Amino acid sequence: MIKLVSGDGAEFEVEEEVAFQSKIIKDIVADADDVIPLPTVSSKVLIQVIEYCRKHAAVNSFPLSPSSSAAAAASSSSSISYSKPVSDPALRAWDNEFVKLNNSSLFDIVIAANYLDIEELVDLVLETVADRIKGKQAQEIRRQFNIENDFTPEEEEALRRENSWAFQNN
Amino acid sequence: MKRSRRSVPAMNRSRRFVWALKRSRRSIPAMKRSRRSVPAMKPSRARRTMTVEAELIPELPDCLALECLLRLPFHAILDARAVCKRWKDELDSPSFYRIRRANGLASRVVSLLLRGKLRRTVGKFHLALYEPDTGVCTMRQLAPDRPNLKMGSIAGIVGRELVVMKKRRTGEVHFYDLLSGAWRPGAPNPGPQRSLSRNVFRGEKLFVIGGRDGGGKKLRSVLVYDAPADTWIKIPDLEGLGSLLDGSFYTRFWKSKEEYFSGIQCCREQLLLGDDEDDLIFYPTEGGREIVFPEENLILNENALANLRKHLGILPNELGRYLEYFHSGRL
Repeated sequence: MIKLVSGDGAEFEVEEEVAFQSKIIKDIVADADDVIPLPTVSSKVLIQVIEYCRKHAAVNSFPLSPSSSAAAAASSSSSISYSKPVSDPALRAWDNEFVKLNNSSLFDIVIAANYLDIEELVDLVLETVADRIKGKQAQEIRRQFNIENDFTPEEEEALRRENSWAFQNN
Repeated sequence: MKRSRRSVPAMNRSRRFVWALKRSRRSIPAMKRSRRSVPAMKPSRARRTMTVEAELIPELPDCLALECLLRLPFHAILDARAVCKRWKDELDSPSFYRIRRANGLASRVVSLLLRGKLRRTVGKFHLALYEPDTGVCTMRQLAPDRPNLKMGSIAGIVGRELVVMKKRRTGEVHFYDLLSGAWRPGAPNPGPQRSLSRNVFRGEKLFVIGGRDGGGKKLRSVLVYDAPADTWIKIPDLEGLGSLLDGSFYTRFWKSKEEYFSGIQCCREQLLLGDDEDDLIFYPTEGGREIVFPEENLILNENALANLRKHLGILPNELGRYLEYFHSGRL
């Protein structure tokens, strides 16, 4: 077991394979019973990140059938490949539920995941944020992400002219 | 749509990071890296020193916010440009599209130039941008100052612009800004006027290979146009290239020896194909209900075509009548 300590001092004991979803923890752990302080991660965020890692660790280490395990061993002999897209539909559905959070919670998670180098989680959140941007008008995007409109009326008019003769549908 | 992974930044990042960790043993240092910027201290982030400037997305570090913007499909970029100045700066910068492409995040865009009155709009010339992966179609009426493009003109996407060379003796180059809808001319083709040349887009360079001069004499020279630099260079004769291979020649115009040699190789192959230009042009085959875009191996199948026709408000088999020019690329 590895002990993770959040910025507010809460301790979380997790199994190695869960903690090792974070490449950075995997790189620095020297002993089996290490204590790793994570000063910039609050316990609220750490709980969510651990939840994600636990789920993904369980799916990634799911025992394979004998025939496919040989092929899997040949292709990924070293370690879990973080760069593969999430292909398991059940896991993808779980991921979709996981990211049903407000923007600021998502931002906290992606900052922590980036810090801990959990690439799959970073990608998941970034894709989610991009999804929340697309298909929206500028005004809606500003409202959703609390962005100030700093265009002068003239600049806005010029932009409108550039886009006014475009129409979109899908 | 499979996306290739960022490889270089990831590697760089972890190496730098591991080094930091070794020194501090157990505790992970607070985040100060950016996911993307490879050379950590590069002054290109100068705008960050202007502390008054707002973040791209409040509460999110810019390096991560930029990653979100990089994942937007093309049609979303059109709206996102109007959010605020920082977004517009970022989305209008050529490097944004370079990073998108390098990381496999650029979306496939088919551009179709249509001539003729469409049911839903007023004008007579339209540019339809169709994204096969999302099914979204964006259409613009083109301003009257548009260059007169014809089927067989050659094009590529460089940055956020469509670069088009007209298939005329003069070989004019035009840039079309896909975001703002503005046209601008490229540097004039130094000539001589040539017909029946083979024109190929490779990377960000346009090759005008061989062909015949005004008197019908066969040419063995190549004109190369570097789109980002807006410069033409002439390669006098593909046979006698040895004399050109001093160092200064590469660095001024070519990114690397490899780029240069593969370009020359491509030119030689094109020259061997002879005068018959028709085998390089791909017409829409409405009978077979497919349009094939050779450079991307993209095939608009019946479903995609039906979808597109619905967007444009035209009847089956009408597309061929309207279509003046098409191009497929990534943006």
